[in-house]
Amino acid sequence: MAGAETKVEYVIRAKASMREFLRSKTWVEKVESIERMNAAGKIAREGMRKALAERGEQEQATTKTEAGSLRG
Amino acid sequence: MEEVLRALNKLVEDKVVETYAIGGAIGASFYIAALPTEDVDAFVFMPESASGLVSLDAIYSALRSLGGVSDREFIRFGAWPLQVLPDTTPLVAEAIREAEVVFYGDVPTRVFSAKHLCAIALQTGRAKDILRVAMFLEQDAVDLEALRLVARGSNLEDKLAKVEADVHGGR
Repeated sequence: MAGAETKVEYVIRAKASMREFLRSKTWVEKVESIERMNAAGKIAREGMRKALAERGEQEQATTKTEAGSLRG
Repeated sequence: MEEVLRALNKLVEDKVVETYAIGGAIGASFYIAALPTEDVDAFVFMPESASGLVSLDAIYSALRSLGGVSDREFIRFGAWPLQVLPDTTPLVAEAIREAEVVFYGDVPTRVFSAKHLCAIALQTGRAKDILRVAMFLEQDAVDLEALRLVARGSNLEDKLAKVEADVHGGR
């Protein structure tokens, strides 16, 4: 099967197969999938916000230390 | 999602609205692969007042009495913010009138037909709307002749032809 097709043909077939699978799901399954995407997005955004806040705090601390050394 | 649809059905039952139809990404997901979205768009007929202004107050108040919670311009039911939108163009009015009766699980509801979802997306014209039309074409999820007819009636032929060329050119 795989030996009889080129890489491009394989990718096209695999993509078409996945598309067909996604399309064949029921509406309820698709909406549940959107709900999972939204929940994952919320977690990712929250994580990013925390990471940025922590980095901001660290940068502030570094700046203060540097300012202190300059004064010293 | 069931909560949203049951609330909309209750609005019809209580004659707060004549009918409604689901559009946007949730409506499109009935026909094609799931699309990311944060809200549910429900379109309703909304007669203009003598002043020409439209008010959704009665609808939003009824939705709140059914358990919905106000959240900016949405009414939230569980995880889903619902946005009620009026029939701003003749195309949207036609889409509401000719919506398909379908089931979400065991809840009956109405969803825009594939051709109307595509035509409205072409009319709205944002990048994500055009992408959605391309997905319908790519996934053979719309009757192309029927869509061309609707597009012709709303002067959207050129926009549709461009998406068709992009999709078919990519094959």
